Amino acid sequence: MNATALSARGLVRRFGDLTAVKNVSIELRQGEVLGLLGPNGAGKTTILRMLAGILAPNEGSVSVMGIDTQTDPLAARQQIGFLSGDTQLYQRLNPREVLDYFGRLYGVPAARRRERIEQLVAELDMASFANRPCGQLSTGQKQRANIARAFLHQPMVLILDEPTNALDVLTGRFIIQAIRREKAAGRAILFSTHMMGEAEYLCDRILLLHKGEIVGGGTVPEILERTGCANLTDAFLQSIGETEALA
Amino acid sequence: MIRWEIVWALFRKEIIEALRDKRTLFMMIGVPVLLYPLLFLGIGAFQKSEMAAADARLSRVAIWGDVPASLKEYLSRPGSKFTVLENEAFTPTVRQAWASGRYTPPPVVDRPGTAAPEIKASETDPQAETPVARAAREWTLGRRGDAVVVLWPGFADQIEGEALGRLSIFFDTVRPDSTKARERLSKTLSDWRRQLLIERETRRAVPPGFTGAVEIRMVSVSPPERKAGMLIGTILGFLLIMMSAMSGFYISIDLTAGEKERGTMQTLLCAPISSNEIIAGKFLAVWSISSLATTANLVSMALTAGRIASTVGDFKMTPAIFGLSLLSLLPISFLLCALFLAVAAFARDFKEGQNYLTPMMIGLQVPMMLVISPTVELSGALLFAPVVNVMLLVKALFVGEAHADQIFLVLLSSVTYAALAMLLAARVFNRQNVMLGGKESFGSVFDFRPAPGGLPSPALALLVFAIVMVINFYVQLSLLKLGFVALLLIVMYGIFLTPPLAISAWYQFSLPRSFRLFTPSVLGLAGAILIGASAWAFVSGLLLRLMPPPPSLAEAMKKVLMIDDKSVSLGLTMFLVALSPAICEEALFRGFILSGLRSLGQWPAIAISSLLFAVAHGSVYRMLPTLFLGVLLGYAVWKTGSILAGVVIHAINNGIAVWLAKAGGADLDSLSGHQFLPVSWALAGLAVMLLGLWMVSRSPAPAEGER
Repeated sequence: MNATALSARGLVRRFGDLTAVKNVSIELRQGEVLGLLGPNGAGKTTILRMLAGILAPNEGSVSVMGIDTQTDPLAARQQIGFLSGDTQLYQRLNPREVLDYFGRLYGVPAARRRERIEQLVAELDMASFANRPCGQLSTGQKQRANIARAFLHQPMVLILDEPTNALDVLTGRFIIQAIRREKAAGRAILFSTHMMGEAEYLCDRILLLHKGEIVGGGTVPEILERTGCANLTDAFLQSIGETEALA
Repeated sequence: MIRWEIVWALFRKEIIEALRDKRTLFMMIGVPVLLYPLLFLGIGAFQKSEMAAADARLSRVAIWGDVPASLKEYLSRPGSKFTVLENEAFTPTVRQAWASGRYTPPPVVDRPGTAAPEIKASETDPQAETPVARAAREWTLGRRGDAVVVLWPGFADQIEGEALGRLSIFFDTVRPDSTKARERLSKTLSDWRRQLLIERETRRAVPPGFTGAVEIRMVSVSPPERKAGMLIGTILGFLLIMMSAMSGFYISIDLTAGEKERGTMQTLLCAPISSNEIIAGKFLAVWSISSLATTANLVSMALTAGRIASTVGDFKMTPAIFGLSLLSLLPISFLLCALFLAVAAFARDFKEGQNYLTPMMIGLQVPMMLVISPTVELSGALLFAPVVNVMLLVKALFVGEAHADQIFLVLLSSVTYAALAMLLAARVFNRQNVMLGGKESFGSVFDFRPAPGGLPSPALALLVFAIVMVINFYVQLSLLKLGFVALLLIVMYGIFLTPPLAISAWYQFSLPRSFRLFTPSVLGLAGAILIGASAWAFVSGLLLRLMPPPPSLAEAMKKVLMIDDKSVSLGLTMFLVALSPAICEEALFRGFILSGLRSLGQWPAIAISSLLFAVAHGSVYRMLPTLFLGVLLGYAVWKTGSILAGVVIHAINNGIAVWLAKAGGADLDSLSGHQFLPVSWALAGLAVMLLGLWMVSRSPAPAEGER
């Protein structure tokens, strides 16, 4: 079994009186794609923000490649590539400039930075729009530039929050290919989605999330077997029903 | 063809949405409806109180020449508001020249058809360049009094002999107190003249209006460029601050709320960068753009001002005035940019940002509009009033009346406010939820949870310093009446000692570690005694030569050391001036502040704490000696690990000053730089001090927990 890339223990996050995340623990290994599956408002974004070290948990801890996100947040963030529907690009900069800027923030040396930018422009087929201001790009082009931004510093852990949301099939394919490439390179990938098919297709393991709690998990065959359902959607619905009945 | 039902539907929806946006509505309608009456009432009340205060103040008037008894009586009538200095401010050289009869009164103004000469106001009197006029100008512009009445030679005899007496009133048109004095003098002297006329005419039985008695001449001592300076300085200060605020306004919203709205803030927060780096980068961007805009405005205004000045007088904007105005605007732009960033960061979108910052812009304008009146001058509490003090300083610079100490205090307080605003901004940017677009109240930023057994942070140390300074400024101003002994006790124990102790207690910090309450080694203590006994010699013999303090500082020091007050015994003076500062100032500067800064490393911590210690002494002339003493004290406390080393050095150093001045009868002029300690003494002091420092440096290092 591969080494642990990311480990979260007993995460709790409250916003005022609302407890958005309740005692969530996650283990992600190198070379593994873990899917976080849940409906809107299940707490996926909050969990991913805590894992990425940009939001502190009220309780619990997160370590990335053995680095605690609370005690050494900068070193931990260096190991992470984060992408979500909320992470946008600067309208008046073009993708190359955005990549150069983030390369600097991540401390990538100049020569390596240039090399990586060209590599990503080629891999994600960005050449046709790499010099156009991001404000003029289509949603799919923006998302490709954003993926390049998250992958640029070659982090060991990729946290992707609904990366294919609102994308056309063609762009979605680029992203899925990119995820597979990174997995093959031994990186750990945690990605959230509410699209069951995508999760089934891409993930080694899946965690089912509902109302801030993990309500089930395992490989797709394990989940299907345990629930006796024919597909992941039914299994998910059943898991929710079970918890609600228990509550 | 327009379909009006569609237009109606669109219109209706926009109105519903607009009406539901309560905050914008309040800004658009509520604020102006409330603001203008408030502003009007506020400015009215302020001007009224200013006028009442100006009315209540006695005019300090010097009278030079032979004063007739009847005039004396008139000036001291019940209800007259003069403090008359009869020939008091008459300089010996002028007095001598006067006595020798070298001065002649100005020529009689021939005014056919009028029996009694009227009061004449003259801007450029031919007499304005006589030595008497020069002395009168120096006296008035030097603010030793409000106006000078010159009774030209033979005045008393002329009045006595029923001839025409001539007098001139010298006053400053730019200074309200001086024009007030002119007004009062004019009225009183006219009354007196009328009385003289009635008496003369009655005695000679001539019809009214037949005789003259006194010719009164008004001479403005204010050079024309002062008037232009007043006008330009007032407008310029106001406009530049507003420009700085306006240009900072949009860019701070764009870089905070705008970034959140566009979704790029989270992208940035994912990067391995600290919130302090983010705020620093953004602050520099906001500040650069705001400064660029302000500089462009200043250059444009300087050119325009040239044109204005040519119509008003021979005003010249020297590079020094220009430079100082820019320098004083620097902390203002720091303060505004930091405050705007801190507040705009709470907004989730651009519109919300505007709603938050617009009241701040209005709040900024109100006090500035209050002080735009010519009666308000840079003095007292206004020296420390944020923003307003800089506006008044720019005016004072242009009028040519800003003193080094005033510039220092304005810059010091402005830098303090700017530092506080920066700390606030850094705190806001540290709130992850706020930066991610979550809703939080402003109050959530001030999270003061106890940290049992801990130490103050550098930010807290600076915050406590700033708070202590602000309280100190205002308390000193308002409690002056209590007398020096009470004031000193309140400042030392109430302002310097209590806040750091109370804050440490609140946070449950380790008191021994925060205040270094440990026993020093015998070697370290002996070293401290040597430093305390020798440092003063080095300071008075060498350092004071570099920047000799003015006589006014010697006066202030005299007051501090209570030389003239025989009721205060040597023992009490020692307690007040030597022991109390040694305990209270050490607890604040070498205790709380140095401990708070220790994470920065030995020399940065000592350097910053010494700088704050020097700044706290409130005079630009005491900066160098106190900075030097601060470094010695910081080093001794750091090396010995004990506050006692600092207390000993401080107490001995101050004690020697008290003893020399009070018991030893030393000439206080040595403090004012007129007479320095011989260099040989200073060198001997240096040798002993170095020995003391060496002993302190060899003092056994304090245990880890005590550092």
